[in-house]
Amino acid sequence: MAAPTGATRILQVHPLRTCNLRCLHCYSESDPGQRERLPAEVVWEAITSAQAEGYSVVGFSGGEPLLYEPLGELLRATRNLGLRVSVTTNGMLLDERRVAWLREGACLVAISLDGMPESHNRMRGSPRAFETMQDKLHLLREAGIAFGFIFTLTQFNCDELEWVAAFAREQGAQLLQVHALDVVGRARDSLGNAAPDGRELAAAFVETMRLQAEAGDMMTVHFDLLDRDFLAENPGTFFSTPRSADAAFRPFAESISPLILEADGTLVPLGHGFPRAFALGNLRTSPFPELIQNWRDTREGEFRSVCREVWQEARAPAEWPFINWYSEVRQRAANWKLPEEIGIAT
Amino acid sequence: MATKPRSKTGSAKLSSAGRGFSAAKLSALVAILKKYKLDKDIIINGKPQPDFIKGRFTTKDSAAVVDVLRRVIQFNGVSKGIVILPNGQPPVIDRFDVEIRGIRA
Repeated sequence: MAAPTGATRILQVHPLRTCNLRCLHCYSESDPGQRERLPAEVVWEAITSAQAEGYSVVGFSGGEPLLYEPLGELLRATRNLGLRVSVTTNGMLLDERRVAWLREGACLVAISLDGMPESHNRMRGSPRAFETMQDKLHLLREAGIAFGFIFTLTQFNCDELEWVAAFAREQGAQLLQVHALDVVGRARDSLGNAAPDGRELAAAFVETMRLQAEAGDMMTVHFDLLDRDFLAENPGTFFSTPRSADAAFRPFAESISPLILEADGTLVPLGHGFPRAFALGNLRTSPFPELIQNWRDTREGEFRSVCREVWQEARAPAEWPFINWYSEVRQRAANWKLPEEIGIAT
Repeated sequence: MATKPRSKTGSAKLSSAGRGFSAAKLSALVAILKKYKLDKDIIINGKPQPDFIKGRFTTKDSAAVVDVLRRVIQFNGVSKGIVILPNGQPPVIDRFDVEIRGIRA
């Protein structure tokens, strides 16, 4: 069964919401004052259970994962399970001790980069965010750890992509990932008008294709952008078809990828902050197998109906060919009326 | 009354710098590039495969490396499709890690 994440099945883990920064676009509303964090045993239960259900990649994000003391041990243990591991960080806290953690287990370290230094610092709310991050990159290079950058595309910054790509290549990055701003979390208040529209997505697409051609094999340029035609032709990939008859007997990774573990222990489909009405439940109070069984029984059908509506709408003629699918599904789910809310017995 | 000037969009700034396109040209370019992007990704035997292949192979000489790689990935030129990821999640980069007589390719 195909999924938006391609051949890989991803468990994304947010072990904490503490961060050394307070970024304008933070989807998890992390900052230095947040204290929410998961015990390492809960994270480990999620990882081992997810592996048993067919997940092959674990992505650590946050909050700032380098502030999570059990990270090194978890990375090593996760890699020993044979899973591939990524860590997403702002890069400012890299030091020899933490780089040793990463060397133990991370296949890729993804560093957030929001444009040229002035733009980056403005988005990060710190006048030294860029300089500090840049000063630490040599530690990754010297340790031989593969790294890349994640650039958040807004309505106003696709002109900075060229600079970002040049910087990434100069630093020895293997990846530049372009991800459209999703107006969720803190971005709702601080960047409400900054989600890129169809034209900006198209302009950024042309830029990324040009930059990929320039980078050749030196660096992968990845754009999280869905083509409406592709969506229309592949409803099964985007959970827009009814559940298959044998789904209950197949690994859960075939039902949902990505699966997200939030810092309070809640498991949700697709992305951090996905509406709680569609959550699997909380891993601190119920075991993983129970949560997935309950979700299959009570929520999967509704979840697929939400996805199907997005799929149907995407088939309508549109001026521009791209869609920010995760954002569309999340918004649709937020406004969805579940059967029990409208008085239908399930 | 003074009004705050609206920020220029990224594409408008690209145009100002001589690197942008009109809406019509942009549409045409996107149509062409979409096809290119879909065609250049890798798929094996018609199905997306794990993005990472690792193995050790022995060949008689270095010239046979390409033949070995072809046989391993059985590239047939069909689109792998699109991978899109949520906030904060990088992709697994397509990689073929093959060791042949001590040479890593």
